[in-house]
Amino acid sequence: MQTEESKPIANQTIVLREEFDDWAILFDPDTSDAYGLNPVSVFIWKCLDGNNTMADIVRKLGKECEDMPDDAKNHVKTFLGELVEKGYAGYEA
Amino acid sequence: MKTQLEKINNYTGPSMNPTFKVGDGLIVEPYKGKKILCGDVITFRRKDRENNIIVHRVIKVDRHGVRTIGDNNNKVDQWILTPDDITGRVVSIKRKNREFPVSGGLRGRIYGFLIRRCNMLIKKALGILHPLYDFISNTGIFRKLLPLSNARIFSFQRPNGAELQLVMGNRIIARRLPGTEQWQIKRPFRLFIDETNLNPEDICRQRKANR
Repeated sequence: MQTEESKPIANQTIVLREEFDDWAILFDPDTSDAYGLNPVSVFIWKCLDGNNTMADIVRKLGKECEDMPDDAKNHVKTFLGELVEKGYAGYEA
Repeated sequence: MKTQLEKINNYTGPSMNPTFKVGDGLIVEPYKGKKILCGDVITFRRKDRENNIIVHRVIKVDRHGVRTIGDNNNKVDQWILTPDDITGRVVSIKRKNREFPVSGGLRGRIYGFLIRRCNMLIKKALGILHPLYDFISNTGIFRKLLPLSNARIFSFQRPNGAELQLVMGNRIIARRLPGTEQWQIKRPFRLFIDETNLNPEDICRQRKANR
């Protein structure tokens, strides 16, 4: 069961390939699926080290970005949910 | 005139390892009837598998056609390609956030030769050492050197079910794939880990006790 204090981690089998325009591709070698990331998503992905809660990630994002929308936390939550659903991110068992 | 480059996203497969790794982006120059040299890394389609693009290195060009081999393979590919099969030549790869050139021609030929020789030696050495590795792993004499209290187990929801990964620092040292009870422990960690004792609850308990 995940709580606000859970610390998500990126699945290290997923390959991140950054493009020159700051966008990136996540590639899953097990399924050959690819998933495009915009620069903000790349930043969030790099925060998924198992040491940051979602609140920590939003805080770090706020320091990096100007004019962060009020509902940024919801966007981060939705994005993390998608990553977890795909198995690209997970939590300590 | 500037040559138009085509990008094939996401290389998969082991046959060109370590030249290419899974997830590398390949930058490909269209072939369009250009001269193919031994040592070039080319992309082509096989007639029996039209949907798959194969990437291998040219090892021989003669009047019969073009012969290829994977840098990680011992044997030359069974097929002989005609110019119509060849779609392009790999000129560089993108890995993480960097781009690396891919050698072709004479340099590619030398590189491919050296890589295949190294791989052959490594495979031979592993073949000799494997029984010794199995023996020492089974004795368990090194298990106390790597306490699992430093390890963490993470769970990932994969299409077929939950996958568990045993992580130490930033390194995955074992995976338990969905639908299986058996851990796949990466070499050389079986020297230090008894897979029959890899229980997530025990590891969490050890980790908490160590805090």
